[in-house]
This record gives sequence, structure tokens and C-alpha cells, in this order.
Amino acid sequence: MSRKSPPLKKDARAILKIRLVGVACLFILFGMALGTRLFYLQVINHDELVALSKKQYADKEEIVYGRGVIFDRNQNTLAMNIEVESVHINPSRVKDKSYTARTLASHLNMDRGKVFGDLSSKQRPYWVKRKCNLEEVSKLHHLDLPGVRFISEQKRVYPKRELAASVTGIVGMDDKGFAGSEYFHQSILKGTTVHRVIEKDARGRNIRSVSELVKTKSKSRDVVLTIDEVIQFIAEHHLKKQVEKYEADSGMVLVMEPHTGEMLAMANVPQFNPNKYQAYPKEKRRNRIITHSYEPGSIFKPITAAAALDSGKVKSTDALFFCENGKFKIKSKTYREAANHKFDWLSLQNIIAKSSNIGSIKIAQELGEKQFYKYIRKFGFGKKTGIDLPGESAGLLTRQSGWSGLSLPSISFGHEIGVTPIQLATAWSAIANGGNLVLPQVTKLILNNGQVEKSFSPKIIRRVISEKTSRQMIEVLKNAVKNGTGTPAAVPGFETAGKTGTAQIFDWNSGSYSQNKYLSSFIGFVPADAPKIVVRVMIENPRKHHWGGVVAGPVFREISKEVLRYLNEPAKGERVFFLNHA
Amino acid sequence: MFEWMGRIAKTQVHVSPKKFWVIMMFSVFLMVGAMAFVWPNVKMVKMAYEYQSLAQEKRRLLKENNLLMVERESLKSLDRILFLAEKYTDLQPPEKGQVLTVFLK
Repeated sequence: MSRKSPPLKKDARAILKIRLVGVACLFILFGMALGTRLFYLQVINHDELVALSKKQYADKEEIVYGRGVIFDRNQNTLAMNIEVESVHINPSRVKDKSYTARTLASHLNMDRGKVFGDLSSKQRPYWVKRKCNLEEVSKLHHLDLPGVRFISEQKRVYPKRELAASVTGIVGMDDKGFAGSEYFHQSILKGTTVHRVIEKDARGRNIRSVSELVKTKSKSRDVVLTIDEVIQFIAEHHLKKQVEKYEADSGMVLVMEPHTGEMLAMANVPQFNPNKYQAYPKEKRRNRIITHSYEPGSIFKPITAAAALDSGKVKSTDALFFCENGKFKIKSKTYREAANHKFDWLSLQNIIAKSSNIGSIKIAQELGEKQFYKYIRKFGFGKKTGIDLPGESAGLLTRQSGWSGLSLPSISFGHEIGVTPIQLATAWSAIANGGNLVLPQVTKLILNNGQVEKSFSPKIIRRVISEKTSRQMIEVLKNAVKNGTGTPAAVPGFETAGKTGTAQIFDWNSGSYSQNKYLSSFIGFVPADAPKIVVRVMIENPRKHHWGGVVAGPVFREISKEVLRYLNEPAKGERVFFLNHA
Repeated sequence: MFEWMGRIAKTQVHVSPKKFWVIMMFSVFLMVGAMAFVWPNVKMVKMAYEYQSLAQEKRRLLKENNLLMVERESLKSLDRILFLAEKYTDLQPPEKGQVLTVFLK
């Protein structure tokens, strides 16, 4: 049973009513105040407060996809990235400038005076040191210096150090390619930076990303070079040894696939370490195989001979030429043979084998200026080859209309013309591959997320000589190695075709050819009848000896021997087995 | 069973037990509804923290992996391998006759 509450008295009811009205008024007043405040915050100050809250709870995060990787043809890494940290400082937030400067200088291996000077004079935030070593910043992290921030950045690393450095190139502090493939493929390799907004809590911890990553912005793409790490190493190793042995100023080796124009190796000595490129002068960082032109000397003679044979002006390689017994006067100039040799009658084949200057002049005279110039141009001299690397030189070739009466004889044996090593190797590839001038190339593939996006197929520019001339020249060049000046370059177990060259270096100070500075070179291809590689060796200013056969020939031999072994090309007399997979 | 609640409703709140039950049920539904609305958010924030922590861990591991890759590539340097082969194992390039070429069909 429930009990009924006693009825309230009249006075008490009136008091209760007054109280209720009072409380209701208070509530209404409170509600009005609340409503006014809400109106002020939500309507009048809306934009400002939203911005303030976003600033407090939202943060922009930068996601940096570093530069693309550079691989060799077998996907060995030549250039990659690591994440490092840069030290950034806001001077207005630094409490103790002296202590901060001292600490930063000691941990970052910097000059304390400079750090303090910068910190005292600068008002706006600035970089103290960019892309620091991991050891440098790890201790600084624990110190938690006010005003000091650590910002993650990508740093380019070349794990193989000097290997193929002049081909891969270098990257500056802001991740822009400066040289080599890094520069040439800047638009492909350059990293992508994506921004996203992160929601943070009151303690500054990330909660979630507000805006999703922009899917259309893909990561940077990777570049696969035609360079073979092993062949590059073989070339650099033997070149370095010879440059050191002959105390030469520098050396270059180029290994090329004659049918496709693919560069298998491009070696420059002295080398440089691209991880510390600032420590080397600019001159040492150049890829002189494409940037510098040289007077080729005797290795140009086969070009003259090939032109004469192909034009039909010289019918066969046995055609005889009178070599004037070592002295040949044209206008006011007397041409002589190297080492004062004296030849009377020599066949075209022997002119190349004995490297007769006068014989070459006689061959070129058969051709005539117009034809000779036409063939020089057809072989690609006097203009860039179009290789996919920056800074290529076109070489030096005077237009035929500007030739003096001495131009034809001089050019016939490689003087009065400047050619780059790449031009010469490309021209020789035409002799080796049956007569086609191919486009030399260093890039094989462009990869996007590991998938092939673009492949660079071999490109034939034009036919330079006929297949018949090519075969004739191969025989001539085989003879030059077997019975001529190129004997030291003969690769054991393989038919070798090639030619030596010993050119005096032009001394710009005296305005004449130096009497004691030479450019020793050798160029050839193996196996002669089915060439796998064209190898060009140049050694600049060797001491002790200077003959191309003696200085550059052995480098060619050693490189070719090891490269052919690496390419599974068995030498004569070597045991070969064929096995079933099963 | 719930008579005492009815008594409290009548004596203390001055409402009928029926009204009291309606208020009670409404309050319970309101609380359950509020919980149902808040709980997934709380869970989501908790999971977001976990995700962020795992993302950070992933980033750290990737960084470490990258450094190890650099080290591996550096160790694979042919210059170094040649040096080790010559100095510590006395290996020499093969002479003529020591080489066999095997082709797999």
C-alpha cells in the first residue's frame, strides 16, 4: 500500500512557485549567456577558431620518396638513397646561445666560432648542417636542445664508390643531378614529395592522417644502365694498374658492344669517389670519354683505309703504294714515318700493319678531299654521337671548304682532327659489325615500381661501309695485330683485330707538338670474326715508354681476355662442355 | 521486486511509479546510445595510436633495412673482393688450361 503525501499549505505553495520562477529565470539567464557565447564562438569567431584548432591539432607531414635507384645491366645497385637527418635551428627559441653553439659545434664537427656567430646574428630559422652522419645526430637527439629540430632528408649514396662514377654522375645537396646519368635523367630519377595532414592529440602524438596520400603521384622511377659492373671493374682495374706503372697523367677505357652500341664499361683514371665529390677538382670528375677530343693519331688510319676500299678507289687490300722511303714533301711540309722508318712499296694491308704515315697519305690522295671528307662525316666525326650522357663534345673537324693543302695528308693519319674516344669507338664498331653506325647508349631501361616502363632498343643510324669492306678491314686489322705494331695486344686464344696509336700531344703553350708528351692508345675488337666487344684504351702522357702497342696494348689484351671469359666466350684450345639441365 | 524504486519515486521525486519507469528507461537508453556512439570513436583513436606506433616502427625498420642494403652493396664491391682474394686466400686468375667453359642446354 502506498502512502499519500500531505497537501502543501497555501503559503508554502506560493514560496515554492516564487522559488521555481527564480530558478527558471536563472536558467534562462544562464542559457542566454551560453547562447550568446556560442554565437560568438561559432558564428563571429568561427573562421579564426577553426584555423587555430587546425593549427593545434593538425600538422602537415612531408613524405619524401627519394631519388630513383641506378642499376647496372644486371640490376646491381650503383646509386641509392639513405634517410639521414639535417639539423635546423630557430634562434628565437634558443635559451642559452653559447651552450647551444658549443654543443652543436662539438657534435657536428663544426667551427664553434662560426656556429655561435650564425646563431647570434641570424633571426630567422636556418640549417646548421644538412645531411649529417648518423653518429653526429644520435647524441644530439638525447640532449633535446631548445630551438633545435631534426628534419629527415634523403641522401644519395654510391655503395661501389669510385666504380663507374663518371657514368652515374653526382647529386648536389638539394638532390639535383650535376653530372652523368644523374643529370641526364634528372626528370626520371628526381624524388617525389607528398604532403598529408596528420591529426595530433594534445601531447603532439600523431592520431591519424586526415588527407590520404595523393595516389597519382607515383614514386620516382629507377634507371638501369647498360654498364656491366664486372666489366667496368675489369676495365678500371687494368687501366689503373697501367697508369700507375707508366706514371701517366690519366687513362681512359671504353668497352662497347659493337652490334647494339651498348656501353659495357667507361673507365676514367684518376677516379673520384662520388660520395665525397667536393674533395675532387671538377676536371677529375669529368667523363673525358665523351667530353674531351684528342688527335687520334694512327688509330685513324683504318678509317682512311676503309673509306678508300668502300669508295672503290682502292680495289683490294693488296693494292700497293709507294711510301717514298720515309720522306714525303707536300708543299712546304715534309712528312716522315714514325721512328724514322723507311718504307718503299707497301700494300694497304701493310700500311696499316706497319702504321705508315706516308702510306696513309697516299691512300687518302687516291680518295680525294671531297670523298675523304664525306666518309669522315659518315663515320660520325665532327658531330655528337647522341649518347645519352650530358656534356658530349662534337670533336673538331674543319669543313672541307676550309681545308688547306695539308689538311688531307694530316687527317689521313689522325692529325688536324679532334675526335672523342666515344666517336672513335662508334666508328670502329661500324667496321666490326658489318658496316652500320650504331647509336651508342648507356641507358637500358626505365623501371617504375620494378616494372619496365621504357626500354631503349639498339638504333642503327646509317650504313657507313658495305659488308664486303667491313670483312676486308677485319682482315687488315687482324694482320695489324698478328704481324704489325699491335702484337702486344693479341688476346691469347682469340683472333684479335686492332690498331695501335701513338700521337704527340699538342702543347698549347708553345703552339707546337710536344716532343716528350704522347697519347698512347689502342683500339680493337675481339673475337675478330664475330666481335663481342670493341675496346678503346688511351693512356695520356706515360713516362718510361710511349708506344701505343707497349703501353695501351697490354691493357686491351688483359681486359679483353677477362671480359670474354666473363661473357662465356671460350678461347681456342679451352675445354668446353655442354650439359643438360636435367 | 522493484517496489522500493516505486516508493522512492513517490516519496522523494514526487512522480508516479509509471512515470518514474519511463524516465528510468529513457535515461538507460540515452546512456546506452551515448556509449554506442562514443565507444567506436574511443576504439578508433586507440587503434589509431597503435597504427601510428606501428607505422613509426615500420619506418625505423625500413631505414635500418636501407642501411643494411648499403652495407651489403658496399661489401659486394669487387675491389674489396679482389683485395680479400689476393691478400687472404692467395687466389690468382686462372692460367690457360685451367678454364672449363660449361654451357647448360
